[in-house]
Amino acid sequence: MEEAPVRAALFPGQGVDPAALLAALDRAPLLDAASDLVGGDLAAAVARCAGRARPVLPTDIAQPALVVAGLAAHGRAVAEAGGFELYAGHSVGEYTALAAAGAVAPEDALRLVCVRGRAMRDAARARGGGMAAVKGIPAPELEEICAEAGAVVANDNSPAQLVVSGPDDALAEVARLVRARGGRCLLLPVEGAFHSPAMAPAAPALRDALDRVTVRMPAARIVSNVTARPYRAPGEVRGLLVRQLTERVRFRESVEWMAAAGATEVVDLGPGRVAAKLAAATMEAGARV
Amino acid sequence: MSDVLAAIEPVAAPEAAAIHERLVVAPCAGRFVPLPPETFTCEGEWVEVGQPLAHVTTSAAPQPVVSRFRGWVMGMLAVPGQPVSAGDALFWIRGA
Repeated sequence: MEEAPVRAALFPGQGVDPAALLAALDRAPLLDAASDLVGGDLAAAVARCAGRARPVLPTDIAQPALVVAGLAAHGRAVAEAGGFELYAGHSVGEYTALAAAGAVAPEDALRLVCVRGRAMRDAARARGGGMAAVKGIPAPELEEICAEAGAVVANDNSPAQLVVSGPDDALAEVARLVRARGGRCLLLPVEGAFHSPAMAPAAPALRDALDRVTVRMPAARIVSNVTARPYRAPGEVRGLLVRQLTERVRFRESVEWMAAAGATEVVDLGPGRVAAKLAAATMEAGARV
Repeated sequence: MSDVLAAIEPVAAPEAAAIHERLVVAPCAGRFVPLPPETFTCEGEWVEVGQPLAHVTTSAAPQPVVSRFRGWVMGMLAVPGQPVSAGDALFWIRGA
């Protein structure tokens, strides 16, 4: 007898193309609610940025926009082909995953990421810094470079891509050392040193917001960025989402866990194809991405 | 002197200002050809002094465009395949 398919849904973080995000917001059911929460026209705010060269979406705009777009795509995907057994998201995409799986109400997910986005924006303005993608340097070697330079490995995205966070001077030093060892380093268009200790000031506001939200454990399994394993209890969700602000996004290991858990199909619900590309670089042959 | 201007206190000490933006310019007239993205991308890549970024094709040999600066490449300012004049800005680099 043929085994039932195990479908996994992925949601990207802020590394998406603003033009793709704008397109995904078109007629999204939660767009008006999100605009009310951010205090303005969310799609117009994304559109203003999408037209620029090397656009940097403000994080307090990007985060609710990604949740709105991701949940709209999830609704369409479920209507067309049924539900998913596994969920994961990259950074803010984890909130989309939690809402899509039914762990939190969609409106609560929006409230959470609005608080998170504002708190991260304020922390970034206070602390400065940024993020850079690194290619061609093995993870242990990059850990050594970061320790020397005063940065941290913030995202373990795929076997081919790691992302570092830190102050501007530390990122420059990481880049110099990476280049000297034959690797490449690309500055990312983000506002701050996300998933690093620089985001600690954002934790209290997010913790307060999480305490006011009902969290359930749905039938589908949702993989945590921090542990790369499924959540087991509502309290764990709250704690790990706060830790996720300052800790590494273990996306590669999350995808590996999904493959080991029997995922037969991994679907990037977007916007864009960033999550699919990272997953494709990680998944073993045989899984369909 | 007006009362308003008279009321302005002289600044005690000038503020330090550092400008980190740099431009890499065309070494000669010709056609601008950036290196392929497998080798170099203009989207935020870190470059070192002397690193090749592109070349300018001429009727004689192609002339390499190398960075005179260390830093992040923030943008490509010329259109690939289009003619450029000597001294035209080709890349914007945010120096470290």
